[in-house]
Amino acid sequence: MSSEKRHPSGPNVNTPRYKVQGTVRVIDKDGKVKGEFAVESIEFNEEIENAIEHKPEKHTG
Amino acid sequence: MQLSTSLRNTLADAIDTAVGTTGRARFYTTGLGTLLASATLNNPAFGAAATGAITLDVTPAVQDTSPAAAGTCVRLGFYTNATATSGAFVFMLGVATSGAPDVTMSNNVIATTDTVQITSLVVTVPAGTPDVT
Repeated sequence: MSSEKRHPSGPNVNTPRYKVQGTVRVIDKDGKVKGEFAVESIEFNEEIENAIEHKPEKHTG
Repeated sequence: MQLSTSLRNTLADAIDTAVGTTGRARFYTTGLGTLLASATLNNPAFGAAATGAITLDVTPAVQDTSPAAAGTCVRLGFYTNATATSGAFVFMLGVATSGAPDVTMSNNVIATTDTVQITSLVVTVPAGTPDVT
């Protein structure tokens, strides 16, 4: 997932995006690692999105 | 837009706050159709933010030693508790089997006899850059 995105309402606002790096391991019953995989993308709930999204103010004057 | 390190830390710590004291990591099949495994997070789940990043506390291990169902995991969600509905995640991760990730996945098919363990996880709020274009 890109670390930045262009805000849909305007061409000149770059909004930093969260990124995640990590690993998850799956181990079988004999203790052997079946596999490891990386997380590659992230989606936040609306509350956190609102906290980080740039909200352009409307200018009436 | 460029964020100060202080603000990045504030935003990163907000994730830990949102997960809360009884957080869960839950592993799902496509479309959040089947809950495969669920691991209890530590309290707090993440350490304090530094340089806009928070690191999952994995001591003691964040794992499920008896997955509830067998299937192919494609989503890893973080929730405030064990009973939250699948859509009520705090944040949701896509699980990769190929592509950019730096760990080559060899098997994300979970069996009920497996142990599913998060061995590391770092969430970073990027600084961004001022854009004048």
